[in-house]
Amino acid sequence: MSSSRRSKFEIWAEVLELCLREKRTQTWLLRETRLKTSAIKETLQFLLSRNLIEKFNEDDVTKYSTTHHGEEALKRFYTLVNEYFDIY
Amino acid sequence: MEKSENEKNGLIQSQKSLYIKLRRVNQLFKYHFSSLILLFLFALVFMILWTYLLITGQIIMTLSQRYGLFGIIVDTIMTVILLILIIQIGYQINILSLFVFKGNRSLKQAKGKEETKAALYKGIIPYIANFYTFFNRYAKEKTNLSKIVKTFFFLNFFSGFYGIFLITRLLGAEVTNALLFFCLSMLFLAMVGFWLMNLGTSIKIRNEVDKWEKLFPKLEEWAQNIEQISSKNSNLFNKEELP
Repeated sequence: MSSSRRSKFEIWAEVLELCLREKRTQTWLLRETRLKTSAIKETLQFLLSRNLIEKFNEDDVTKYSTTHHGEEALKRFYTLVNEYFDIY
Repeated sequence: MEKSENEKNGLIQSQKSLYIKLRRVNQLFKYHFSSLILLFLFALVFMILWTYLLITGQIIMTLSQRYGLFGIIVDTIMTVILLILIIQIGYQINILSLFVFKGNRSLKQAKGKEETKAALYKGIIPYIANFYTFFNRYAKEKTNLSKIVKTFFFLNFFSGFYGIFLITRLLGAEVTNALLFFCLSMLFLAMVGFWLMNLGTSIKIRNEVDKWEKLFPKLEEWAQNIEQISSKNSNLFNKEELP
C-alpha cells in the first residue's frame, strides 16, 4: 500500500499499536508499516512531540514505545470504532 | 504499573471484541460478494443458452408466434434489458472487489500472526483504513455510499423479479431441445437461490452502512484531537472523555 494514500489516523494508530507491547526501532517500524523513511521519521517526530510515544536508547539503538497517553489515545480509537461496528 | 497492565488488558478486550465484529462484517461482505459472482456467472450462462436457442430457432416465444416481427422486437428488447441488468451486476462486483479483497487480506494477515505478542490483532487498523478509503472514494465523488448501496439493492431486487417474469414466459414457449431446456430450468433455480441470498446480505449491509458512514468523521475528529495535543497537555484522551 502506498503511503501517500494512507490517512493520518491510520498511520498514527498503527504506530501506536506497534509500539504498545514492545519497544521498536525505526527500521522495524519502517518494515512493518511499509511507509517511506521520510514519512516514518515525520510520524515518529510528531508522536514524540505529542508525548504519545517515548524514545529509549538501548545499546546505542534508538527504540520507541507507546506512552500512557498514547495508550489512552489508542483506547479511544478502538472504543470509537467498536461503537459503530455492532453487527449481529 | 499494575494500573497500566489493567489498562492494557482493557485495550486487549476492546481489540478482541472489535476483531470479532470485523470478522463478522468481513464474512457478510464475503457472502454478498460470492452470491453476486455466482449470480452473474449463472445469468451469463443462461443468457448464452437463451440466445443460442433463439438464434437456432429451437425456442419460439409466444409473442413472436402471435405477433410476428413485432413480437420478435419486444422479445429482443426484453432480452437486452436483462443483459443490461446482468452488466450492472458485473459493475457491482467490480466496485466491491476493490474493498473485499483488501479487507480479507488484512484480516487473514492478522489471523496468521494472532499468536505473536507483537502483532496482536494487527489487521484491525488496516481493515478500518480500507473501509475508510472505500467510503471516502465515494464521498469525493459527491455520491453518498448509502445511496449507492440502496440503488444496488433496488437493482438486484428488480433484476430478480424481471428475471423470474422472463423465465415464466420461457416456460410457456415451445422448446424443441429438451436437454437445453432442462439446463435452463436448473440454472434458473440456482439463480433464484443466489438472488435470495444476495438480497438477504444486501438488506443487512444497507442497514449497517448508515452507521458506518457516521464513524469516519469521528475518526477524523480523533486525528484532529491528536494534532491539537501539546507535549505539556497530552491528556486529551482522558477516561472521562471516553463514552
